Amino acid sequence: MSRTSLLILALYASTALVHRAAHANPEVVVIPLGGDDALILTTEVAAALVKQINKETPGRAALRYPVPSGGEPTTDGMQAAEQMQQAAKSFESLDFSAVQTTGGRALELYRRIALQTGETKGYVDALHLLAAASLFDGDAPRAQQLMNDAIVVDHRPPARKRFNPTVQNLHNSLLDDDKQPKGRLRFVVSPRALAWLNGKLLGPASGAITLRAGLYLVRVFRPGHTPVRRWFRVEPGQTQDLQVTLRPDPVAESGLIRALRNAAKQPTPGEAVRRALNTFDARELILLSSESEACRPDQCQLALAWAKDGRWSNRQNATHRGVAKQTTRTLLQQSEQLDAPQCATAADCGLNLHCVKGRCKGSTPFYKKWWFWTAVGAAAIGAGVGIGVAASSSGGAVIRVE
Amino acid sequence: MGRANSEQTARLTGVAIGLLLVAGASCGGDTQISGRLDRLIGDLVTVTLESGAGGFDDSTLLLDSAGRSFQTSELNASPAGKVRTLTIPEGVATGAAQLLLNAQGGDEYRIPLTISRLLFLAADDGVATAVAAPGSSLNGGRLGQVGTPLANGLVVLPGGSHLAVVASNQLQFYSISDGFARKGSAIGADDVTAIVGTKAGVVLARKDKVSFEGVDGQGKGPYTVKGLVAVAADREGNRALALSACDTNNDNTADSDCLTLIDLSGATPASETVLDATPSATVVAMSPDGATAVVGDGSTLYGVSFGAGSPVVGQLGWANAQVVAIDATVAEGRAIYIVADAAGRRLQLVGFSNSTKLGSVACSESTLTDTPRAVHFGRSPEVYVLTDKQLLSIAQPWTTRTNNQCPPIAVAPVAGTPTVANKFVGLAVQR
Repeated sequence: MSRTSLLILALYASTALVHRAAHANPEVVVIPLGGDDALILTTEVAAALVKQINKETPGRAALRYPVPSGGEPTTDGMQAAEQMQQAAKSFESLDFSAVQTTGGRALELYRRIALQTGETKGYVDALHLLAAASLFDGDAPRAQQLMNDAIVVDHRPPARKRFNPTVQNLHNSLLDDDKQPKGRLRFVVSPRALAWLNGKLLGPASGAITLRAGLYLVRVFRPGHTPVRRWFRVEPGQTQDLQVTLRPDPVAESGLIRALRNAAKQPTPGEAVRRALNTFDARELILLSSESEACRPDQCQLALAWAKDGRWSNRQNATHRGVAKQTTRTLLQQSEQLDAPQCATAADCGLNLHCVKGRCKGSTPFYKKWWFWTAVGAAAIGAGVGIGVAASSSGGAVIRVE
Repeated sequence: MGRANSEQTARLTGVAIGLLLVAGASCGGDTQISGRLDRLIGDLVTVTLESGAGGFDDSTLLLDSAGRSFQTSELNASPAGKVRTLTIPEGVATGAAQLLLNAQGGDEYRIPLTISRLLFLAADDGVATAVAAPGSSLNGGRLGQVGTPLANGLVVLPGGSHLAVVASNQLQFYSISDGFARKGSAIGADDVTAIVGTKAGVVLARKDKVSFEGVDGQGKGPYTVKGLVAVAADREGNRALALSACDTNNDNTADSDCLTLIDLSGATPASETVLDATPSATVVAMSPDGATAVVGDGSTLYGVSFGAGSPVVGQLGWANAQVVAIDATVAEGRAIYIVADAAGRRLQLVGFSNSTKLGSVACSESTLTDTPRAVHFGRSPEVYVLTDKQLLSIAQPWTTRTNNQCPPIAVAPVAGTPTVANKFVGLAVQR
């Protein structure tokens, strides 16, 4: 298979995974375009951009980056499907121990396929089947673990055609992430790289994150290095290290990324942007590039290009000085200024806008004024004293149960 | 920069001082709690804030001794105010529980309760007895003479607050939480052969007739089912299922086992399903949601699922069995059935592996020393078994296979079961 084919395969695989991982497609997709170390930095700022946009409209933006392929698939998908078919037949005839044997083999094969291609449908289907068999075989703890592993990768319910409400109920009972036991995953990755969890770009692979316990498909990648894919089980109540040392490899980054990097410099968005919008099923695209590869964490010139309706609606530069939130604010504020009307006095501006240095600007929100927080403090003291006095004068409650 | 710092400082200081004072205030004052803290499943509990600022807010939470929590809606709790009423629902574990109520001002009141559940026995001499389920603190005792009881003519209605008894050709409801006071007048129950409890009343099988009798005195039916043998119903009382020895070739002779699904509201006509070509089935049970049912026919179990189309029938053999009793519950999200075999003195659990297949739950077969007469689920998945002389409990009716072996299932006599002169004939259980 040619390198181009591999890249296309990788693009498709990552896209499919991204689609499944997201509950709804975002309107705006933000793609970091820095190379080498600059990729980590642009990803950090891109993540902050997403956060800032979502603060205004939750769920509007998402971070995306195509995962490069790790190599040609070697596991036979047909073999996995055959094992799965046998397991399904055993399930229909209530031979649950045979389901565990053949379904277990199918699961192992699908797990390998997921590692190689990112494709998780067969893996999740096998988990649903094994969970149902364990449930009906009286092994509830195993059924819960298998169903939990399926939900960690994909929230979709088991097929209603095959599984009765009992299995659907098991799935529903485990669906709420907030109610499930949690563990922590700590990245110990060298050199610095990006991490994906179940196909979804997490950001730079550093620090520790809290996740619901279960088995995760982790990918770690840095341009110029061989991508690493690994299954990693997050245990309840534990913090576990994921240690990865990336091997240098001249494997190119995704072709789409190269094309987008080039597109960001053009006067109009062009074909690559259109392709990315199609790929990520989004309406707007924000490309965040670094001006040079030699970016330092505390000093880097960044360029934002915001594609909307077939044109660049905003293109802004900012110097990153180590604080992603600050850089984001600068990029977005400058973007707003471009659209702001020119003015001489406040009368030239709209309602609640002031004219500052020839541009209309909104007034500082009241909650960012120093006097507001002083008032909040005073009110809290007053309320505290009031409640304290009321409670001490009541002498405790008297409750009668009949 | 200077202004930014002072803003930050003012913000933090103000909020911190306020929070400290609020926290201090909420810890102030001891709560005095008095009244009836030992409660039964199905009890209506009334909590009154006799002294204290404001009232209770809308939230109510009950934490049971097994660590499970029951929310406002499950407790049927009343809205905000000085008085909160709630019902102890089925499924609450026996033993220490905590009722958590919030004051409108933010304080939390923790009210310690002790939960008990009762099992009811009827002997053939007509004496009814209440026995405390394992882990309960309240004691049972002799309830009195109910008349000549119908075999298996004793049932606790889902919800746990009412007991229905068919004895001496009469049906009588009793309020469990109200000291077993008679609820309404006795209803004539001639020719009743089976009784099944629903949330608001009971479904009776009489001679070729199925009828519903509500605790509130309202009835439904009767619905004619020729050759009626036994009856089952869903928890809500929306549908009943009649097992009959039916005549499929119109020669006035019963030739098959049939099931008739009856919409108790009368909105849709009854539908009949033929199970087999020999009229020999004796017992039927329906899942609480009414979606599935299991029929006992000698050494064959039929599993029937009711979907959008025609009912789907599957079957399962149980060698040399004579199925005499079946009960259904929901355990870990699935409907399961406990089936009792009088010939081999055995019990086993069965369930549906998908919408059509009936299968045994692995490692769920247990053998008894006496012949089972009745079998009932308690708080899921506990099982109670009635034999002629004994009441037995099984805390966990299935085990997990280790080294390809099924460990034995523990069966124990229920402490406090009275001795009986001749034999027990009926068992009812608060779940």
